[in-house]
Amino acid sequence: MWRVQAHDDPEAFAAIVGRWQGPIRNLCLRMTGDLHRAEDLAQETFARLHARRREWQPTAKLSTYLWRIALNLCHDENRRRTRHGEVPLEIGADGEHAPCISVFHPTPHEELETAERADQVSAALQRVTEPFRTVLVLRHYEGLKFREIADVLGVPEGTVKSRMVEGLSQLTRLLQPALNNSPAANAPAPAIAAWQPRPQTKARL
Amino acid sequence: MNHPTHEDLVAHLYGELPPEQQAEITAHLNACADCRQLATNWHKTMRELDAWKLPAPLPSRSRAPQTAVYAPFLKWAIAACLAVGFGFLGGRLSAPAPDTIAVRAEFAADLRKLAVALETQRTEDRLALTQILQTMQGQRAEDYATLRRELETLAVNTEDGLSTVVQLAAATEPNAR
Repeated sequence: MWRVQAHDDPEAFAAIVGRWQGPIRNLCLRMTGDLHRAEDLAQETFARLHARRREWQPTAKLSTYLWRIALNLCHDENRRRTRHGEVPLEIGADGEHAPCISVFHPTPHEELETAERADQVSAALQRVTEPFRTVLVLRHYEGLKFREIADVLGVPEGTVKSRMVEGLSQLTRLLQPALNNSPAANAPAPAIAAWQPRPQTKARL
Repeated sequence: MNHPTHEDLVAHLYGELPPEQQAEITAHLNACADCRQLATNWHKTMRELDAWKLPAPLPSRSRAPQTAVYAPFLKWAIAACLAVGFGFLGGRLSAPAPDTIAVRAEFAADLRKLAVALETQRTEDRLALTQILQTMQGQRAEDYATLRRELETLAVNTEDGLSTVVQLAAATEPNAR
């Protein structure tokens, strides 16, 4: 990044884009639930990174800077869409009056079933209040540690964990009917002795 | 029984606690049905999140493969251009300088003949032009003299005619009374 900042090196910038295009685009897609908007937002993220290359501090991590830019863009985009009535309003903080996702109806075709589940998860995630959704996406899908998420968002690590708890709780409530009818719910609960925490998923970052 | 906080439970599910704390919470979950139920629900939700897999990036937005395909040809093209350029430059630099004195002596006699021929031609042209002008001036003087004579003849004739008209007007008719 310092080559971009000091010499406007186009090859170095192309390398940054090649390295981070996928993760940034995935983040935007998880945050907006719209593939084409996510593509546009990812491009806008890199355009903004280039425009603000002088503001970047060499002591800061590039990834943190990039995540922050992308999240701000997603936030602006979601706010704009909500203002124009393009998406249903998110649920309230209590989540009491939130409409649940419709009950999952299994189909004979396994691929279709998987696609329906993915759609339901996507729709449910878009209904989670944005600060909680941000933490969920960064932790679960992008594999950032809670400490790293705290750096990106500029909040204490405890706040990140609290938001994660709230996000998971909201999502569990939203997905409850689907969970009760999904094949995963019908599987036997993990044995107490065999309980293991979720393995780490940050291999690709 | 001291229940773990929800924050610690989430950190435990994602394996972000120190090993001893992980083991401690695992032991608690084995013993506490309420916490186990909560953790199981969250764990199911986390597994549901894994069901949303993203499509591959759109190929039209990616320019890297095109660059990768053309890169070797581009390198060879640049190398060929450099080779031709250096060859041309080397030829220019290694060629002997022309002998300007010999070239000048070779062409000097021809240039002098050409200069004399040009001067002669110009003199002839000037003489021809002078003759033409003199001829034109003589012709114009002759035309002027002819015109003058004719005008004088016309004036004399006109005066004679007027005298005749006056005489006719002054004459009386014999049988007027």
